Amino acid sequence: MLNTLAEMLSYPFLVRALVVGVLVSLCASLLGASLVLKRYSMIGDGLSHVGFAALAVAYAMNAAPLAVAIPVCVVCAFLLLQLKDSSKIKGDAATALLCSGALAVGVMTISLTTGMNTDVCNYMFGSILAMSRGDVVLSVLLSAAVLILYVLFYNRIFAVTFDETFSSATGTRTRLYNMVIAFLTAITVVLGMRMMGTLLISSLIVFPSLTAMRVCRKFKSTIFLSAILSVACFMLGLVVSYLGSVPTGACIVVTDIAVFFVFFEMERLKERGGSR
Amino acid sequence: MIKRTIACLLAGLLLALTLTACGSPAASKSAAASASAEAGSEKLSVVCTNFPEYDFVRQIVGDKADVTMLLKPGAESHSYEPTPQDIITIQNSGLFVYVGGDSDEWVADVLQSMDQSKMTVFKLMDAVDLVEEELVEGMQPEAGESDSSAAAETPEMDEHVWTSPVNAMKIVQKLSDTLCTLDAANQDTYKANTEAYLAQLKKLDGDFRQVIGSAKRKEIIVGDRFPFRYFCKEYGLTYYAAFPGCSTDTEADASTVAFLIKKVREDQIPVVFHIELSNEQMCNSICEATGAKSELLNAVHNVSDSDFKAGATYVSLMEHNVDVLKEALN
Amino acid sequence: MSLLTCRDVSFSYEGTTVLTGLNFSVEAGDYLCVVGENGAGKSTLLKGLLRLKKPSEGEILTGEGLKSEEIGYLPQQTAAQKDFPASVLEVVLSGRLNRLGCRPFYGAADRADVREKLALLGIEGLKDRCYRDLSGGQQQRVLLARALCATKKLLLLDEPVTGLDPIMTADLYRVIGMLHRERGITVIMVSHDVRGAVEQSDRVLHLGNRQLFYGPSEEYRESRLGRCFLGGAAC
Repeated sequence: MLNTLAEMLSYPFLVRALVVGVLVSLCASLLGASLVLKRYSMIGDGLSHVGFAALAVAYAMNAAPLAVAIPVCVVCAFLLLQLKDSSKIKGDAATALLCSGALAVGVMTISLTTGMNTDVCNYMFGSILAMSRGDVVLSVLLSAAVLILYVLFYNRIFAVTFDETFSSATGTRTRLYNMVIAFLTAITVVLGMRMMGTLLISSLIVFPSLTAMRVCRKFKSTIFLSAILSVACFMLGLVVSYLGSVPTGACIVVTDIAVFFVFFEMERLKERGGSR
Repeated sequence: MIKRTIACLLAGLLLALTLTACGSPAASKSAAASASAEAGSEKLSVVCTNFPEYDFVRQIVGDKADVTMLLKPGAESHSYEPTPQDIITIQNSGLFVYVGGDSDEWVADVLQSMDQSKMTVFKLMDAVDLVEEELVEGMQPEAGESDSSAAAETPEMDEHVWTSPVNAMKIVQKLSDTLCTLDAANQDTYKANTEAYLAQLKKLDGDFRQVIGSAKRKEIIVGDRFPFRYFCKEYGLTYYAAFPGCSTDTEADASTVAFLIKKVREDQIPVVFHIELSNEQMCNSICEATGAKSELLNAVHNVSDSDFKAGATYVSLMEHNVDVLKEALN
Repeated sequence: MSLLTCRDVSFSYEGTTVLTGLNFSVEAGDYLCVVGENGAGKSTLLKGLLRLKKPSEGEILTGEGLKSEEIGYLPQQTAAQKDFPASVLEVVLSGRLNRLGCRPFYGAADRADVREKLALLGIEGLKDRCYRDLSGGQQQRVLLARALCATKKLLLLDEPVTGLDPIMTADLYRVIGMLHRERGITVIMVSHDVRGAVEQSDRVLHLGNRQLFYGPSEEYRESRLGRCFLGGAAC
């Protein structure tokens, strides 16, 4: 095992993939806990499709991809998280609109300019080679921001996630916290989708917290466990994909699924044991 | 209210960007099509699917016939799907040239549904001897194919027949014969152009033989898809690459990249190749890990828009290959 | 100076007035219940009192040193919350958020306050249980404890007994009544359980897109409006 790791670390592209992947998984799981509990699980999908469209347009205009994708995704994230229950289009419908609409815009742009090619497929399914030095720097900054937010503002994030109305009523600036979560989620999605792929990045956001919620009784332990699980599954998935010559993104998600079922079983056994 | 405004602005912006980004290519194609329709029924109209055919025909006929290329410059040749406009263009042509491999599977269906009485069809893969796609050590097998141990059900013939100048000469000769039969009025011009062009191709062949013959090693490494079977076979080069042929696989496996890196280090290869219109990520990763130089080995499936406008030809692009090969093999 | 005063207040959504003519004041120690048919504007009023919605006309004044962050609120539970993986301690602690100021973490004083409120409501034993494993009545008590942590003076309750069976309902009313009598907390309760609410409270505010009645509960029971509504007939 150690030999494999040493071997993997001798390739700079793998080192970059590891660093960015671990950091993005960490951020995704932390943000995911809040998003899943606010019933915004599909936001990762929505934002990744918007990111795909933005990347396609950037590609067609020969512009720097991140410079176009990040602002567009941030704006969409703000819009989505600001939708209240009383609005005419509810959260899930709005996400669905964005998902397919953005994907269609992206595909049209690509077919009108260069035609479907390998780059498009790489965006859809991710590529382990896609991480550049700039990505590493950005992911370090992003993780620092997310960690600071979650450590210093943990209690406020909890209050806003558990009960937004109560928090507003008692004087917390819920709008601000929603904006910050939206902003960080957008950046996480754009960074992660180049490695995991448009279609798979949302699983990094959703799976770890769902798994942790099977067995945790406190919010704090839920957050800790989902962060640990996320990073562990990422690393395991990366190593397995390297050894088994399978696509990285899918391998990581399959690992997540397997771990989810393990914890699901644990919950069931605990319930059954408890009720006897 | 503000949210709605922002949403509308965003939608409008995305739409505007999409429309501007696709300005010229679509416009130029329709202009060319209408021009050839107007120019008159006297000139023979030839429709080609990809760039090498287009260039060959262009060199033979000069301006005595109308030549159209279905593939847009810069587009991916392996995932090309014809639009209804394209099918009409094929229907109205006098000569339709296509390769006949995996990427041209759509041709069979389209031709079946067409009235072929006024049209001649030329298949590139009929003009030369064919070779199978082969899996060499370190390659990532195509999705759906079992390991090399299983017997192949229908061997997949490599479709990149034009990469060898010797094959190109055979194709050009046969194309010329067909064109002369179809357009007897201009056959003298055609024959003369063909002679001149064959001479160019012969010189190209000679250049390759000279470079490879005097080279220190006869091995190339391509950190990309591999369309050079015919080329390597003709000139006796061994090769390692990431994918056999031009597989539809795009996800680069970490272990494939690792194998190629090891090979480059072992055999002390100074140059790693990538093909045209590629994102070059795999090649760059290999070069980063080994210190080798990344160079383009052009397989001439298609050319970029800027190259097309600058007047690139099969010969000019292959001449670039001669130079980089010299560097790689020494 | 009353604790809370509404002077000629109106609320509207997107230009349409949904509630108007609000003129009432709540004194410290009052127990007010807000009743009315569906769509009468009860939740709108609550949102206004919580400063979640600005009135389109008139003003809402607070007196006796009541700061807007000092209102304890028991909202209706959402489905998402019923399934939330948090411990009771964490949920009730979040009621102390408005007193945190710039500090990032809760201190010993906060935890002591939480324990006191839990004991007051008789749910101290549930401190480390997971919120989603509790029954409906227990969850309401936890949220009530949270609301109490946020205030010493005023409690706003939004349909607190909806979805509870009769025993839990009676239980919750008993607890609220106890808080009102023994702690002197002012209570404003929006409810669909008209009979129970009017019985518990000492003042009634009846809304029907405008203020239809405001006064002591006995008067309400005698009034034509009250007799109609309590009798179950539309008027």
